Amino acid sequence: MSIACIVIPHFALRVALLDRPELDGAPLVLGPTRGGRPIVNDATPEAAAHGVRTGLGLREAVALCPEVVILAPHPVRENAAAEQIIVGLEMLSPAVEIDARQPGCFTIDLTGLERRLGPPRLAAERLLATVPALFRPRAGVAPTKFTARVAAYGAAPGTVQVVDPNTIQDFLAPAPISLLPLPPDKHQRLERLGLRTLGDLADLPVAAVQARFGAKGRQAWELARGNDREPVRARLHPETVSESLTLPVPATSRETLLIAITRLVLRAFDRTALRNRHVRQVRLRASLEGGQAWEQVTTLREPGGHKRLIEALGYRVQSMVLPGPVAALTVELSGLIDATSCQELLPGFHSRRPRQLAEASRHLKQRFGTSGLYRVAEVEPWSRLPERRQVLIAYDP
Amino acid sequence: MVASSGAETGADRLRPLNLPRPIQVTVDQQSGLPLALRERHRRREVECVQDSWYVDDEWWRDPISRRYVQVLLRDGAIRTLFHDHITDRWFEQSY
Repeated sequence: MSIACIVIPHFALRVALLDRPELDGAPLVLGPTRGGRPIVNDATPEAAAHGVRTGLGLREAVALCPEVVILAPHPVRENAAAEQIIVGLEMLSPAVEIDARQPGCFTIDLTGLERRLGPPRLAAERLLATVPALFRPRAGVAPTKFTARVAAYGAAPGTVQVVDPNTIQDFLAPAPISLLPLPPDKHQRLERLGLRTLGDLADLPVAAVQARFGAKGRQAWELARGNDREPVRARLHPETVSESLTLPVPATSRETLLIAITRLVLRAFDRTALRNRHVRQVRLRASLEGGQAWEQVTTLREPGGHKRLIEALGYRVQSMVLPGPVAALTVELSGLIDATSCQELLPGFHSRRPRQLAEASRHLKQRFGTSGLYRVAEVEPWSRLPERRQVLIAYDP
Repeated sequence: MVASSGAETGADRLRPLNLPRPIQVTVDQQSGLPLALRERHRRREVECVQDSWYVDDEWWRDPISRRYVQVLLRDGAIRTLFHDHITDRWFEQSY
């Protein structure tokens, strides 16, 4: 079994370069989103050579490297770029996995593709060729996912590193421990213990690692020894419907946004794909004036049609804080299911005849001590747990 | 999940509505989705799974982890079931 991994280090910065390719090779720093803490979120090797590192204040970064260029993140553009890369890779292999924890890391299963793509090295080169060179992608090929990833990080930009299946453990031993898929606090603890390479971790007794770091630590120890049975999980292709709208003038008022969102939702529900169907999730993307972007996902408690969706988005719009005027809006609807109907009460049932009911309740109380009549009251109508939404309370007219 | 105590509820108390009802389900080993369910000593085959979603909540006290599935039965009826990942049991509950 051969698995290829393509990595694009500093993915957000490489995406930002698509707009300004002349900056390639300059010391670049990824700044915060508008309104965020002014710290370095990522730095290219050119900036790192001047001592600029992630987490540093932007002022300190400029002081260390006066020629540093600070770029703003653009999540919408990053998603679009990742999608474009995946689509290119999926033209060659049906099983492409995107690492949600590490943007710009794609794993591709090469099993059964030898006849089409050739031997693993050639296959990886062909995969690499689908990614624009400006991203400086690099590839690794190995029998397991983690080893392929380590190989990719160790390769030079635009090249492929193939790991011999018989030397996996020797190959992994000198690799930095930071490549392990662990949360930052666990990485800090490993570093505090003086563990710098995967070999350092692999040499420790498994019981000690598990006692100190739990199940995640055990998993990391196995990975460091080259034991990785995780298959490549091809991404699901959920059905989505999306509609976009460019506003004539960048909008700042909630009313304008709501009108635009309503228009987009109605346009989406006009499409055949949404006929007699309900929606569970909506992703709202806004391109802001000045080239920035904003994105929010809303999940409905119950799938709903256009009315429910507009209502839910209306509430969101009232509470949202946008970092700038909105130039364009996109609504992407997903979680599409067939519409189900709700039986409304017949008109006759709406007349409760409260006086007769009160009389009956009084009679029942006199005879049994309690009327045994209850009414439904909403307690947590927003709860995701159905049994928490309503309760029966004694009906006491 | 909050289990029913089975005690008679007084009129002055709040009575929860729509509590999950335990149900016997035959599951496809690969996908973990229901193939059939048993209701009133009768086996009812699942025609298709119409929808599936997860509810994970209250991890800070008694964690709740459920996978809901809305199934269409072969006789045309629709049921909403969930698999409780904590107790590894199946329940029926309107959503």
